Amino acid sequence: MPKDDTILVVEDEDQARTFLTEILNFEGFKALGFANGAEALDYLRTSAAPCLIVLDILMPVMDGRQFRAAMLQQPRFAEIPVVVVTALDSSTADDLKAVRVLRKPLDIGALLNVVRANC
Amino acid sequence: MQAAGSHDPPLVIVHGVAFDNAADRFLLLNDQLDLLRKEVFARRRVEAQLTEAVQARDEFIAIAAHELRNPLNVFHLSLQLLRRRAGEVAGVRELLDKSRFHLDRLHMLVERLLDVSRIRAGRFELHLEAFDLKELVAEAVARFREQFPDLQISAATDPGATGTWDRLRLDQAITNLLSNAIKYGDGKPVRIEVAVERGDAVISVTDEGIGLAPGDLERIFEQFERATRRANNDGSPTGFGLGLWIAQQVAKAHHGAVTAESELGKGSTFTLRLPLEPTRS
Repeated sequence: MPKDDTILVVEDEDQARTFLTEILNFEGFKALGFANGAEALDYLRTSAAPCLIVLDILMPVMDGRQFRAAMLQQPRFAEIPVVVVTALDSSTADDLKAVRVLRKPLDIGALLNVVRANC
Repeated sequence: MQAAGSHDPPLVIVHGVAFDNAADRFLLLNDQLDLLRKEVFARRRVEAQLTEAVQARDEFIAIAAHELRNPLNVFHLSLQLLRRRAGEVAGVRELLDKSRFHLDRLHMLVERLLDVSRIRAGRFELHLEAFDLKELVAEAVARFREQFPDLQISAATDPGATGTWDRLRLDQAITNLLSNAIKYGDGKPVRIEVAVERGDAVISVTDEGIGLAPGDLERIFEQFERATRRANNDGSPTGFGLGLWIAQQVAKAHHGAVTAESELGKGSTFTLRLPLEPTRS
């Protein structure tokens, strides 16, 4: 699957998603926001693979866990690195095979380190 | 049954009372069994209520964590974005930095309260992963440098400081030690060093500030204790006095320890020592 330098921000909280997408764009990356896993999955099916997905866990329609399970079932999505951002305790993300788990409030510096390492 | 006039001992003695009537004995035993059954039932009910209360408490902690962290996250992201958009506009960045400072403090207080609840509930679980301490320390130092741009904060890490720990918990412990060093450091340089010694990672945070009296060295690790009543600019006390206690709980959970050396008026060094592999105790 062709890969590009897009970062997906999958987060149901509108303002958090908007602000984070803008911050990443401001830092010179190309970020797109999605309000739940289903929207992000639709994008993945029709687009080049992003370099990184920033993934919230608790979301309506399709939550982060369901989205990740759907990704891992398809070889062309399974390789896309994921960083989980959650308000829950980090142990809740044990099974998500993320390259990094960051807790909210988000340490932007830490996130940018992960972005630069993958994009 | 006793024959009339017999002096044989009665068949049953209960509470010092002799019964030689089988029916009475049976009824008494039945009453005793009833009481016993009621007590067992009552204890099971209390146990069920306790289990329910414990579950409710754990759910509350999880919900409180989620409900508090999400709005803090939005606030934090908005300040980050504003700061980037503000560019070099005079005065704006400084105002935003001050807002960020207080928001970070609020976040820290929320996390410490949640941690105390979890630790006291016995729900302090470690999520272990392998990582290099150098990276973790660099991120923590970067955050504090952003908050305190005029303060000299230096870091030095020995190579090979890679181990298996709970990254978020360790970040918390290091953040608490750095926060304390800055709070009591009187504006003087703060230094964090990471060394590897005999299978342990040794993280030392040193300040040149007010220091501690010998009698305070152990007390400050207790919950809600503060070495001084150092106040904010408006006179309100800072923090809950939980930072060092939490750092010590994190260390203990990793089979490590936090120790302190200090000289009044000269400064302090807090040392967090952790096995590189936490299963080794």
